[in-house]
Amino acid sequence: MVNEQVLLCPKCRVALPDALYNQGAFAPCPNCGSAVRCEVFPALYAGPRLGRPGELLVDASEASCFFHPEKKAAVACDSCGRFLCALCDLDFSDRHICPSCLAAGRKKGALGNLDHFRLSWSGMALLLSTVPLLAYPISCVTAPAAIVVALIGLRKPPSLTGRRRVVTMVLALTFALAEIGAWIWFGRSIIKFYIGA
Amino acid sequence: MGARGSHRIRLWQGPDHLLFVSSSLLGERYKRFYFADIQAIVIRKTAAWLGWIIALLVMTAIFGLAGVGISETAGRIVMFCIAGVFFLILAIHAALGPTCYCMIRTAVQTEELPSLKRVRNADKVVARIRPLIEIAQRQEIRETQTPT
Repeated sequence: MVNEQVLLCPKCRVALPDALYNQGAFAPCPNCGSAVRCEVFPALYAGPRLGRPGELLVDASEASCFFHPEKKAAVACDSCGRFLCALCDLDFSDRHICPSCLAAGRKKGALGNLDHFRLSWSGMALLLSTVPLLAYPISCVTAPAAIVVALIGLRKPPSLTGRRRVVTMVLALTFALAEIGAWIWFGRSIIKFYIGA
Repeated sequence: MGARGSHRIRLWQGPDHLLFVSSSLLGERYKRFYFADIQAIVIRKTAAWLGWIIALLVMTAIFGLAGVGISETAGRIVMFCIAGVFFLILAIHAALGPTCYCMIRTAVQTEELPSLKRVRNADKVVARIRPLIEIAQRQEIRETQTPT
């Protein structure tokens, strides 16, 4: 964890003096002389954020936390409705979620804000349809596979930025269909050759 | 937009975070920098801008002088065209302004932002997200100070 309240020069890795912070203009690094600009925010000086401990239950009539029965309930989970103490209450994208709903959401991919990787189905389809051109006999398998992958990709959620790689998808389908067409033509030619013979 | 190896890097603004998107042919990898967590943004001017200007000037001069030195009209036209292309690249590069290296720091990581490689772009992004960061962090401080 980076807990020092100093910034390092990106070039020489020596601590930059406070006088360079939030100047709004470039200033030379005292050590290496490279022009640097430091935009510093209050979070640099704030300590690590600590979780709130749950309050102990004093009255048996009070609602208690589902996970910690000895703690007082502070909020209900927005997903499953279970009562949660302050410790179990996870503030996630302006929602109060319990740890088990968070884990389940991550597993199912239901929480977009936790996604850190998304497969590009159209990119995979393009690879499947073009790379086998170097070893063309396997294209009889990879070309239909590329079409299947492209069709699966249509049902999958797009990039987190909302973009769909339409050009890549069209290219992949074009290559794959052309390869299938070539195989059909090749098969027909062979059949004709043997029947003709 | 920037690049790191074969990956294309883009920076997107979300409602409460910056989304760092590193995309390749097979997929996209994401990193989120929440406004409430951003501690600093450091921008360092690099010499690449000047270096490229000098290199492109030299190439323009070489092909321009070669064009002057050639007596054949066709050869002269070809040389001037090549010099013209270099000059065009030089003009665009010069107009885009100085280059920079930009990094963002949070409590747990320091990340280079290859998509911000021009000072002008970096300035624009900082001007755009600074108020959002300040609002988010002011709110965060208020929440931590409020007794629960």
